[in-house]
Amino acid sequence: MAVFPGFCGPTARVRSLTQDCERTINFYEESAPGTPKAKTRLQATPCVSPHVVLNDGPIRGQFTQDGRAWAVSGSALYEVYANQNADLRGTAESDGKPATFASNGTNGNQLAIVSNGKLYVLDLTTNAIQQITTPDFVATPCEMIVTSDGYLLALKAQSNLFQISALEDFTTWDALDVYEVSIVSEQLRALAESHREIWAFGSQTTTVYADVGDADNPFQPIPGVKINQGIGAPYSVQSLDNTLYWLGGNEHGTRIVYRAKGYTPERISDHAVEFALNQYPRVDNAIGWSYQDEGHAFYVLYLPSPPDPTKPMDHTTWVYDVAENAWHERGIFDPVALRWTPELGRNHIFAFGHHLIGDPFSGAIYRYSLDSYGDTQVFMGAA
Amino acid sequence: MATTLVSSVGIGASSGAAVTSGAIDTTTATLIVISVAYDCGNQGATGSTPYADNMTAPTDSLANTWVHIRSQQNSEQMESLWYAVSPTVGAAHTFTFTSAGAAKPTLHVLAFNTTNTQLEIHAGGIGGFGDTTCPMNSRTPSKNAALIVTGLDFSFAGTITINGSFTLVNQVNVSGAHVGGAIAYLIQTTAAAVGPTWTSSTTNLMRASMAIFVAPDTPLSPDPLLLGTVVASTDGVTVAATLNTVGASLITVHASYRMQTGQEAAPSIAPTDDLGNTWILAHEEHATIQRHAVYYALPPTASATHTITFTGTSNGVGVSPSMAIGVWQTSWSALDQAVGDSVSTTRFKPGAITPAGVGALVISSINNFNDESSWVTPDMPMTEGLIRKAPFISGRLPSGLGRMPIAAAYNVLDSTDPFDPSWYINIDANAGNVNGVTISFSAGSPTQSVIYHTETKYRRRLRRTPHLSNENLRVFYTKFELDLDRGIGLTTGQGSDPQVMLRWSDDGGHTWSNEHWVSAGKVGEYRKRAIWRRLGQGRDRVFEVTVSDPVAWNLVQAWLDASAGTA
Repeated sequence: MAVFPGFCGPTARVRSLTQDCERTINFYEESAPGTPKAKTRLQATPCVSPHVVLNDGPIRGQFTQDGRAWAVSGSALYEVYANQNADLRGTAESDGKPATFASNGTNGNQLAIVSNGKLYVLDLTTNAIQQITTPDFVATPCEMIVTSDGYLLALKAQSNLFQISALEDFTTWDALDVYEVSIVSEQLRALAESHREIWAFGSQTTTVYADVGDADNPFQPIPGVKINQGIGAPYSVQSLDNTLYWLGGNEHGTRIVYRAKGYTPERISDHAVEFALNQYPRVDNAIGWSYQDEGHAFYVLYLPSPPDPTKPMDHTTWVYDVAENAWHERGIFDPVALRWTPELGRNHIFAFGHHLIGDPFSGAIYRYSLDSYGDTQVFMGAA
Repeated sequence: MATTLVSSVGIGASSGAAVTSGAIDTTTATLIVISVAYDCGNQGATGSTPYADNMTAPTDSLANTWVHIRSQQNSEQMESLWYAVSPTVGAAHTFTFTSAGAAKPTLHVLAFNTTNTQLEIHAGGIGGFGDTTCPMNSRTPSKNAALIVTGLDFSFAGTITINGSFTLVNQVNVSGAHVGGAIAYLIQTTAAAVGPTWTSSTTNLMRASMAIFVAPDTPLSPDPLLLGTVVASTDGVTVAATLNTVGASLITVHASYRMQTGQEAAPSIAPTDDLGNTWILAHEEHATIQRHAVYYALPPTASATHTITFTGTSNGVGVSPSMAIGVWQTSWSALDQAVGDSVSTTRFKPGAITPAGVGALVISSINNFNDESSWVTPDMPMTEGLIRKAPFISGRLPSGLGRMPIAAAYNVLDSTDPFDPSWYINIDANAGNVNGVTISFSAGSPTQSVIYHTETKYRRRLRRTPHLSNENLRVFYTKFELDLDRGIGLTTGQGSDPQVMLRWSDDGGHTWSNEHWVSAGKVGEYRKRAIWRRLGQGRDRVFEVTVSDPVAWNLVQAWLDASAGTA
């Protein structure tokens, strides 16, 4: 018998079924070193089991540092423990969008959380949480936060403005410590930190700031850097494999996935992925998350809004495997409705020796393991 | 809706015991207030203070239920206010007051069209013998556009006036058959302190009551209170209540009782119940011999006939107890904070709390000791920041045995800002000692309270292959073998004989063949081969392999026996 050419491969279903209708769901390719019988195989993707169930959810964000972990579920902030318990730490009002986190570690013992446009700061020593309401905090409503060099950078929603906190103190803000991006005219949609540089994404372009050490004005645009590619989904940006990944867009079009190669966006989606993304009514609410498992760095794109039901597309989660430079799909098949639903994750941390993913549909944080072969899915309410 | 006076009537009794008004048109009324002035010394009451216990409610021709607001007694006469919200109304509506004795009543009725249907607070005032004025104690509505109604009882004939921009609607002067009465009202624009003074053209002896109505508080949705009640001891030692607590996730018992002198420092007494719940002391306050202790069961064992009991001891600990019981449905699983205070005041703040989370359930309760007579009626102390729920609020309990009034109110907070509820105690003459406790539930491990269930799912996995075609000629497929990890079956249950499904499409993935299942090998069957034979022919074939058993799937490659046709 002959080897079936291309039996192991990526999802590559393009607009024309006649050309290619390949799909790989809940498998990913893995190339073997040495002299294998076959160059690649299809490895089953991880399954979930509950680590903890916090409240009605959804899990809107997770953060881990120095052996501790926190999650925002619904409108509450919890500290999650290795022993599968959790404690309520306070409120993080919900707007349904991802909550973003940043910490100054032991320098300030603070964890900042942005949720529903509000900035909260948790004292990591006392576990007291406060909402930053000072009028000097002008980046409100706040879209998201990142931290760099001990500063917290807060992006004001629907503006071209971000503000920096006092050094190592996320509770102290000066209304004059504000940056208004003037290199381009569009509003900022997302901030991301990479290599001590701040990528300020607009819808069409991206500018990059760096800490130049100036005490009064530490973050300044890097001369000559203006990237003619913006972001199509603010919460799609992820730092993975030592660079940034995001769902891009500019004045020429959107729905292409990029990663940064220096200051050059490198297209990593292919026509199959781009065809799929164009079957969704909206992707601006797409949420990216990422993790690494046995050498595979995965960029995961969760699309909350299902595809147009008239379009030939299942509602799966799209995953790019950096190691194999290939895309596959993940999801849960509903044997009653005969349809796919997205993977049970919208964010990830690696804590307590486990990959922990937050459920988009419940208050469950799941362990996500290649050693789990079936899913134990959490549903809110009694059985 | 602006508040308007729809109709009014005032009349004095022509005989000694009863009075019935003439008919008025109350068709558009949403609130009716009745003021009764009468000689309580002829009411049949005993003792000097327990007039409220012997109070007779007015009646009306449309059988409305009348809620007592307050009564103000001075000498042997009393002014008493009653009200009905959303009453049954009619074009010929009459009102009656029949006293237990020859009380010579005078009756006044004001019918309003208003949305101010929440009684917020009341006050009293006294004009002593020989005085020409009767000043009311001042109160401040919490909301704009409040409606304030005041009624007066006076003992000697005179011409009555009232200041403070009140509209004096009617006066019935003193006669041999009835006492004097008057009624007035004010519609505020902006909330401001209100405390008018009634004035008589002659030296007189007066007593007056005042009630403030405001727009209702926004109801809580969902309302965490399933049931609230207040019960008092009748034997001086025990008090019990039987409630339907089904569905409760929390029960609070706010106990009020006395300690005999010398027992002031004795430990608080926990309630007991017939279901064996554990009652945890949230907080207790005491001032000398007055004790206010709040207990809770979380989560409780519940039943439709749940009996909760407080039992004092024979040595004088827990004398004359009363309980306010709250039956709650809340997702919070632990007490967050509990504060309290014990002071003598008319505006009482048990203490501020800072909720740990949005949606905190805050319950505040108070009792009062010193001057039982000052809690003249089943009372409704005004609160700031708390939602009042009538069944859960109570005031003076039946007199005798020294039972203390107890009241409770609650709210669900929409922020984590510090919250400092306050009570306005309706004590005009004597503040008395007040014990207050505020507790909040907004903490705890959510894993204890969140309701969820899990379902085991078998993850479907599939690989749909590239097209197989040979210049669109027929290709005959005789065998497809899948190279995969074999012998991976579980020892028992689903996955003990893991199955692989193969199907194919000969039109590029539009339509599909039947499913063809083979085993991937039970546990240890490492040489098991997953082979499909006699697979037909097609010009443009796509295979699809699907698995779903909960085993460690690794699909390595596939082999295919195919031969090209010529057509």
